[in-house]
Parts: sequence; structure tokens; C-alpha cells
Amino acid sequence: MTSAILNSQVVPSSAAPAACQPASTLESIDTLHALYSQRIFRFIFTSLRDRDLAESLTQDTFIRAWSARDQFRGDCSPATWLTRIALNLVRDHTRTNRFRFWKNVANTAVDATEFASFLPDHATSAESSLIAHEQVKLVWETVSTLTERQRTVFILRFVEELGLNEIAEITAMPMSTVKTHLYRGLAAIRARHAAAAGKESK
Amino acid sequence: MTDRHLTEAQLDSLLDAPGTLNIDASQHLRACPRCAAEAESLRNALKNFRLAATNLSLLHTPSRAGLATMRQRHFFTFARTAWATGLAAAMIAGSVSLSLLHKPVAVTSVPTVASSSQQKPPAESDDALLQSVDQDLSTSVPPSLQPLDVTPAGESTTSKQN
Repeated sequence: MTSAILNSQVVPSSAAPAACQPASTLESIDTLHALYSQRIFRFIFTSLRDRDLAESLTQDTFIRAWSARDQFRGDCSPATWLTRIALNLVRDHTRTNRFRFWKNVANTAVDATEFASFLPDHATSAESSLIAHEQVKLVWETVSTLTERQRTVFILRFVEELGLNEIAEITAMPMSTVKTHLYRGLAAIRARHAAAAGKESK
Repeated sequence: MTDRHLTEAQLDSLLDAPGTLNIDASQHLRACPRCAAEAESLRNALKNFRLAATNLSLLHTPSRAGLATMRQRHFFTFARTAWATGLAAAMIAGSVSLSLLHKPVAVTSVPTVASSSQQKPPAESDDALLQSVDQDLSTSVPPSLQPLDVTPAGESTTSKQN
């Protein structure tokens, strides 16, 4: 059933380039929310893997942004600014509520199989569909093993499709550090992918 | 075409920024089915990961109504915090004023004999004191009693005879 819903809702990767929106979107919280809530939710969700928590922190992000909109100087896009706020909230949450957070996540976390079920069923055959689901599960599991910084950089690059400059700006890390984290994350994905491919070939 | 397969760094570059692959590596990728399959598989995995995340977020992104509720909640939280802060400030002010009303009398320290004697500078030495006493005793009549010492001569003999 989920697949049926999803097939009609798949958004191409080129859609909604919210980063291109001007700073005038800050004139109304509803406009801001309509334009960016989905991507902010996606970023927080893939970082924390908890739907309820991601919903709550997404709303917090917009409320915080709206309260501090006077401080927005317009030297970056609203999307970058919002993502930075979201990242700070994610960090605050995981650091200040570390023990409680992991306990809660264990109860309401989205597992790899559930996450893979959100993959649209565009495969030409059952076999390729199965392979795609397995690949998504593998990436989902591997991302959870990355360090906090590697995970953040990986998500910003491959889920949010941001440039390295923007990632450096959001995470307040030098470009070289961003690249290091990105390539370490990719190396982990590649290693798991190769191991899985090796098992299949045997 | 080179016989060497793509290195890990080249694969990373291919995934991160496909256009940055050098000519040799690009030629190899076109000719080598193994490298091409690996790169394609990784690219698909990352693309599908993004698609799944996007679909999930489409279904679960909180609504604007939820935002209004959240704002209301934040307002109430703020109001509650403000009340709590005000109450705490009032209690602190009250306790401070009470403590000022019942201020205990300051206890002044009474200097003791010992301490006062300790504070005095050392008096003249014992030898000097004894010397002055000897001098006083050796004087026949102390200066203060000298007027009494001037007596009539007869009176003195009479008294001697008696």
C-alpha cells in the first residue's frame, strides 16, 4: 500500500531547489515552512532516525528561525541557514540528552527494512527491486555506524545534494575536513557494499 | 585504456563529482565492465537511499497546523518560564529583605589583657628598673617629701631625748 502512495509522490531530484529561494521568504513563517519543511525534516530524520523526534525538531527549527529572523543577514540562502539551525538542534539534542536519546530511539527508531519500504517501486523486475531494497538497507545500516560528523557530511552531500562549500558553511568546518569526513563515509559505504557483493557472488 | 582498475579515491571522486575523473580513468570505466558495474551499483544505492528518505519525508513532514500548535506550546512554555522566573525572583527578594530585618548584632571582640600586653612595646629592661629603684631608696628623702624634712633643731633634740 505504501508503494502505491509513494509512486504518485516521488519527487525528482531536481525538484524544489529551495536553496535558490530569496531571503524574502522570511517574511512569513508559513511561506518559510511550506518551502523548506520537507528538506529540513528529511535532514533531521536521516540524522536521528526517529520520526516523532524529527517532526518535533523540524518545528523547533522553524520557530527558532522565525524568532531569530532579524539576525539573518542574507549572506547565505535561507535553506543553508535553516539547515544550520537544524544541525545545531540535532547536536544539542544528541549531546544533552545522550542517554535518554538513545533509549528513546531504540523504541521508536525506523529500522532498515521499514526505511527501504519507502523506496518507490520503479524496478523493471522483482529481482532488481529486491536488489534496490537491499542496497538501501545496506546504506541505511552503514550510515548509522558513521561518526556524527561523517554522517552529517554524508547526508548533506548525498541526501540533500549540497555542495562542499555549503556543507562547510553549515557545519562550520574547513573544506578539507569536510572532504575527509565525506570520503571516510564513502569508504565505509563502499566497504560494506563490496562485502555484500562478495557474499552474493559466493 | 589502462589495465588498472579504478582506485578507491577515483571511485569516491566518481560518486562525489563524476566530472572530475581524469581521461585515463574515464576510458577505463567505459571499457571495464567490473569497474563500471561497481560504480553504477554504488551510484544506484546512494540514489535509492535519497529517494527513500525523500518519500518518507513527503509522508511525514509536519504540517503548518502542527507548527501553529508548536508555536502555542512554545508560547505557553515561555509564559510558564516567565512566571517561574518571576516567582523565584520574588522569593529571593523576600528572603533577602527578611534576612536584612533580622540582622544579627555584630559581635565586637574584646581585647584581652594578654593580647594588650602582647601589643605593648617591651618596657625598659629589668636591670634599668632595679637601678632606678635602688636610686630612689638610696636618696635619703624623696624629692616630694623634702619640704617636711626641714624641721627646727630644738624640736629634733627633744624628740631625740624623749
